[in-house]
Amino acid sequence: MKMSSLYCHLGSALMLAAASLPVCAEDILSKNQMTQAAQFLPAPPDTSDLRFQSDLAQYHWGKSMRQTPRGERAIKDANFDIRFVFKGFSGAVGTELTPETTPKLCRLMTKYCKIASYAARRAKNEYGRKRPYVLFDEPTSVRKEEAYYYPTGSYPSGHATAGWVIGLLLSEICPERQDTIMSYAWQFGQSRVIVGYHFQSDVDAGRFVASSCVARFHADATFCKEMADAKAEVRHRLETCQKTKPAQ
Amino acid sequence: MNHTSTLLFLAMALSIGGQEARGDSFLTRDDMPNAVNYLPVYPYTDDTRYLDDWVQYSWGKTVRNTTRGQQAVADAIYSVSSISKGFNAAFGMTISSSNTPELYKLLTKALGDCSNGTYVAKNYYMRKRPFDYYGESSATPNDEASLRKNGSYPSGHTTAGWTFALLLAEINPARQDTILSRGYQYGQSRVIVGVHYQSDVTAGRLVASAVVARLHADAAFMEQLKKAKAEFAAKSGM
Repeated sequence: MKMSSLYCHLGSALMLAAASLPVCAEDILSKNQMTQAAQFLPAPPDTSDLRFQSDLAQYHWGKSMRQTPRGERAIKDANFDIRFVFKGFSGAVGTELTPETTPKLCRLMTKYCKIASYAARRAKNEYGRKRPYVLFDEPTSVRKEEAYYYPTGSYPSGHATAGWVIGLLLSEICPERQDTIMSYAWQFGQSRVIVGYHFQSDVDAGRFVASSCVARFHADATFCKEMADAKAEVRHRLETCQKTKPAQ
Repeated sequence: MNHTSTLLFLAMALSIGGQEARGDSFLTRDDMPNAVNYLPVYPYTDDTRYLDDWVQYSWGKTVRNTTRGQQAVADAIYSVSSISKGFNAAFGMTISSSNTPELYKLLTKALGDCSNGTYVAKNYYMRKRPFDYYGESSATPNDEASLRKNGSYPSGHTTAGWTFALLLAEINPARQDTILSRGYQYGQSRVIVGVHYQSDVTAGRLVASAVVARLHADAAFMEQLKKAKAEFAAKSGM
């Protein structure tokens, strides 16, 4: 095959992948059916608010963590490719979770994390809160994404929402490892504060929105079926495969 | 001992057990996730983050002599009947043992799981309640004696309120935003009455999400949830 044809095929494949969400009759979880976080989320603290001081303290804590191993992990957590995210959660679950080893789980998580972002997005747009690096005009520890995220709202945190959603769903699949899974999900959110992309209150709100998303998912028959399949896949893998080393 | 004495003795024994149906839950305490392991420690009073807790405690006091303050006092009763009553309007249906028996059974047992879900962390940290720390009165003075002996972090009421909100939103997604909004306010009521810090309440909602996830991994819970959903569908003519 000529290189130009190969690139065409690759480009088409990527575009199809980017269109990611299936729009089919059974997929009733459209944007309008998700919870509208702005309906029950409080407004983020204004910079003139005394409550902002907590966010400020956490922003400084985040900066102090950047040149440490925890800071390096935070940079990795910023990469929201499902393969990277799952690599982290694999240790908590006790088996390798990849698109190859657990395809149903990966598809489930990719799909529903995207849907969860709909719940957060309206609130983001409504509040239009400036990210810490935008507000303070200071560098983050993930320089290459600064331009992309610059115009987007900070509150609530999409990463924190997705991380907590994954934690809750994996806990349901592996309740015997819930503490480790939820602890990892907690840290996933805190990484956003460390890299300077979010205030602590953005991350707190993200976790809160996540729980409302998971409640909505469970009201959907398609989700329940897909979740049951993913659970069977993971449980089978846990029973038949060797466990990976626990996450540090 | 004659029959009357026996019955009297039994009645006393049952009432001393308290309002919480601690024996009535889907899971055991050991089954529940341990918040000490997945949540951070609360902010100490010399931590800059404590300022947020102090600001919110002060805010709570300004709300007490308002209609919202009255609601906060009503929200202080920790029982399935009281908590679910607070959701009737948001849910769009009266939640009771007579009107929605399956849902009521679900929530009664889930309340027990909520108590179990906060027990370990509360006792581990034994954080002092704000009214106790400041030597001031709360808006629910009758609860103060028992609350002094009960750790503040995380908030048990908030865990219960947010758990109820998540379950009711799952059963009635058409009214999810109203239900969740009420669930959110239920937690804030604890700050208003002065028996919890904001960080206790924020943590309580996270514990609730973990409790609900754990319950969804339990067959008996899922069976009861299915009954509650079917009951709701039948009653709302779906």
